[in-house]
Amino acid sequence: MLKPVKKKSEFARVMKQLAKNKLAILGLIILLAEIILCAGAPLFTKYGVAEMDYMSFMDPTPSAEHIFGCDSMGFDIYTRVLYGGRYSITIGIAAIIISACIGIVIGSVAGYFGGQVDNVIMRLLDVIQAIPGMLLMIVISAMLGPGFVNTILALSVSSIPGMARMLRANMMKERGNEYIEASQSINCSKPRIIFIHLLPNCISPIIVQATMGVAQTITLAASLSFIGLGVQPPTPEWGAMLSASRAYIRQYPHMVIFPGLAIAVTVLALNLLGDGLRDALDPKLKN
Amino acid sequence: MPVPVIEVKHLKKYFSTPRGMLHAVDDVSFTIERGKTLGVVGESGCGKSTLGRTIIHLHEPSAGQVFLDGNDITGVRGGDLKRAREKMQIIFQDPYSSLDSRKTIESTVREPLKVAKKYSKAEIDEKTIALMNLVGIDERLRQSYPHELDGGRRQRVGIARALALDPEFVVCDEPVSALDVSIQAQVLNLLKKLQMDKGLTYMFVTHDMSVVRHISDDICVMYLGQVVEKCPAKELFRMPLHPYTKALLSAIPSVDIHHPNKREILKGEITSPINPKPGCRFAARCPHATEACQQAQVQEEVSPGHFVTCCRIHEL
Amino acid sequence: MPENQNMPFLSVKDLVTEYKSDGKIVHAVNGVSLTLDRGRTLGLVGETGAGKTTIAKSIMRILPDVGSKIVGGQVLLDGRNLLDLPEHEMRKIRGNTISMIFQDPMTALNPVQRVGEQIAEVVKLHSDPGTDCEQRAKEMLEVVGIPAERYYEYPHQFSGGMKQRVVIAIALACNPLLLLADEPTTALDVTIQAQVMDLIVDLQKKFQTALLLITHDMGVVATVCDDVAVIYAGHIVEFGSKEQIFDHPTHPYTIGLFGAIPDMNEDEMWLHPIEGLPPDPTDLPEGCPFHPRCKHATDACKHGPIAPVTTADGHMCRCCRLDEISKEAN
Repeated sequence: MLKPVKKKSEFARVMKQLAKNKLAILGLIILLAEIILCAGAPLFTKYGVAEMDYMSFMDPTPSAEHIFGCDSMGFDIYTRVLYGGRYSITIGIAAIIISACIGIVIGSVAGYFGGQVDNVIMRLLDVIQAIPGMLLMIVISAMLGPGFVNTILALSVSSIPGMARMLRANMMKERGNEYIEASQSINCSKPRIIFIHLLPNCISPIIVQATMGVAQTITLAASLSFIGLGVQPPTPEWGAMLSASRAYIRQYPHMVIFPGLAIAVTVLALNLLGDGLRDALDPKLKN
Repeated sequence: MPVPVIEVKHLKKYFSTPRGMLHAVDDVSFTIERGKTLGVVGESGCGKSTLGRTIIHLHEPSAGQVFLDGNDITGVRGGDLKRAREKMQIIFQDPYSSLDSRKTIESTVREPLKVAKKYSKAEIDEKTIALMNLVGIDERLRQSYPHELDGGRRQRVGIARALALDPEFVVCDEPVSALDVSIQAQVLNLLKKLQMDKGLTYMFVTHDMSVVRHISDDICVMYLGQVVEKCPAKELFRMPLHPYTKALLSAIPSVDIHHPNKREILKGEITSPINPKPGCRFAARCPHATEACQQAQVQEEVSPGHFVTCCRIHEL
Repeated sequence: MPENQNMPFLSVKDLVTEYKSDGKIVHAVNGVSLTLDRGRTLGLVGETGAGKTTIAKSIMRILPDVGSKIVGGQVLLDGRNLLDLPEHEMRKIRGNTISMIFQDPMTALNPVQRVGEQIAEVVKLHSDPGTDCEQRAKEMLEVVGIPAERYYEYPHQFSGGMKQRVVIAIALACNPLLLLADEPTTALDVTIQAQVMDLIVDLQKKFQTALLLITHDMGVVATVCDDVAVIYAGHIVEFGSKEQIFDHPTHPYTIGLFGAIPDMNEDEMWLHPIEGLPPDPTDLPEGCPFHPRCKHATDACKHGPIAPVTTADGHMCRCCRLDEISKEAN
């Protein structure tokens, strides 16, 4: 009988590798801290998200009462950064998950079957990619109208081609390996070859790309909000906060510095994590 | 006379390339009897690997027929293809790329059994253990990944996977050329033992003449997609007839320092298999080539069981 | 160049090279000594991971900068210790006095540069200003049997054997005194291998080059080498002339290696592999590195460094049970 052997889970192995990379761990800690702070926002601030402090109209700069200061409406910026993180980070993650799922399916089909199928899919993606990313998002947002869900959709459409292309290229490379011929000869079905054999071997660059893509999407969401097409004020999305305060950038720079800093720190943390994952996901790197 | 396990008739496999038709396998015929080994030798690009893959239907043949146990399996699909493939397996050259680097050894060996959908979980467990014992993989390596194993062990995993469904015919595509000499001998012994125990029929593709002599009963020498000579293994080494075979044998550096091979160094290199001209494909490098070699060549049985494709064979 | 009569041209003494890999030390070369004279060929035989390539790279000092280190020993070339030379001096020697041919001709050439120019570049780096590099490069192409008209072609227009000829042309363009050939024919087909090997040997005899040939193919060694060093786990376990090694191998590893090769003249049902696996170079066994696989091993083999035993005619073997084994054999 088969004696149970301690099963090494893939996840545990990746985490162990990741733990060796100090910067990646730093990124992970920052990110987790942010998520805890944002998710539990009411616990970490005494103000409400739409609570105006009329006293702050005299002097909105940071003080003991308002550590990040207040904005032009008298809202506490620290509070709004926390609540805003809920929107920004959700937009980033949701948009990337959607685009990764669609991109993986499209890329797998194109990469595995090749030939005419690949040709048609790739030309369609070319069409999407031929439109500058920002323009495409503006068009989609303008069509669907601004708002939280529509921002997510606009952002995911524009990052599908990148994901699909990357997966397709990896698939084509992996497809040439002999273990694929081996699975054919033991009668594996096509879906089994694609999803059980090829995909796990192609997925790590996608995970890395997705991690960094979240960072990029948060910035893009901020840009959309900044030009008024994303999440609408008074919803405290980071980009929207920047946009709302841009008129005061000279007199009260703190109004843009703190939301801007929030974006920058998140992006940095995600990039550090993405870099670490790239190394940790490769099983061929020795333990 | 018993039905041969594998019979190949006028098998052709062409690939279309931007520069024209690549004649990877061009009109190859042979039979392999049960329990025997046919060695296929030739240089890189002579089509020997494509031949093996075409027989077991990893590639669709362009023309010709393949018979398995007397049944024509050329171009079968669906369930018939599945059943045919269970009887024909392949062991690959590169023990690195032939295993999925993200699957454990155990799941690689289990997979054919699982995909076959004929066995219960308990049967699969039992068979997996039996297979790993059969090829000599230690049980504690079950949960290892391929990159944690050396080349010889990886090759054993590949063998276990190929044998999981109890095939009759196994294509061994250069199974030992990526291994060191001492490990190579271990794997060759294993293959031979498995053949004796299970009555397997092998097609052994290699470029190593000493390995092919050791393992084969008959040998086919291929040049640019065609069989130039076919005969029993010992006879090929004792009395090679085709000029290419002679050159190939003489080019092997001998380990016997007192009786070095009389070298017959060929000029030039293998020409392109794309849109080849009719006539002997070796003529461009052959020291004995004449006008007659530009004509299409026929295979001839020079002595019983010894086939040569050369129009000048009698003069030579 | 000062000619020293009693000194061998190349003499490697107690070379020790280590790598660092994931915090562990890989003992790649462990006290290797060998000598080689002009016009002679020394075969370095061993299995994958035995340290053959590291020896050559240590001699040339082209080990990767990160994580690898020559820990001890000397590489004396004509009496000068190459390991003491500053890098800029070494750069003059590389490609000029010493050249190396790598295993894979497919990756050794720059795919976007014309082959002729790649040869000319080496000539230019190592010759007096005013030399006609292009002319010299064309000469070299002719020497290795490629028509000079092909100077302007790119590597992808050449076949594998032709590329390896170009690599040889590059290696020999500056008439090196020492040529390190790392499995120069392993990637080639047997008929092409014969052509290329003959070419290397012809040129070596013509220019009186000292040739260090790294290979795992005993047949190639038998055909071209004068002396043979058998490497196992970073140690030279046996060293001698070709006749000594092939006719009277004494180390159990060498004997095992010959036994594992399928015999071309005799029929044998079973081959005789060496059981077990080469040791992990991060964790070498104490004593003789071969003892876990050796059927003659006793307790004496498991302790301390094994002293080499050299016969009067220069046949060295590193085995403490040498006498008993040779008695058993007789």
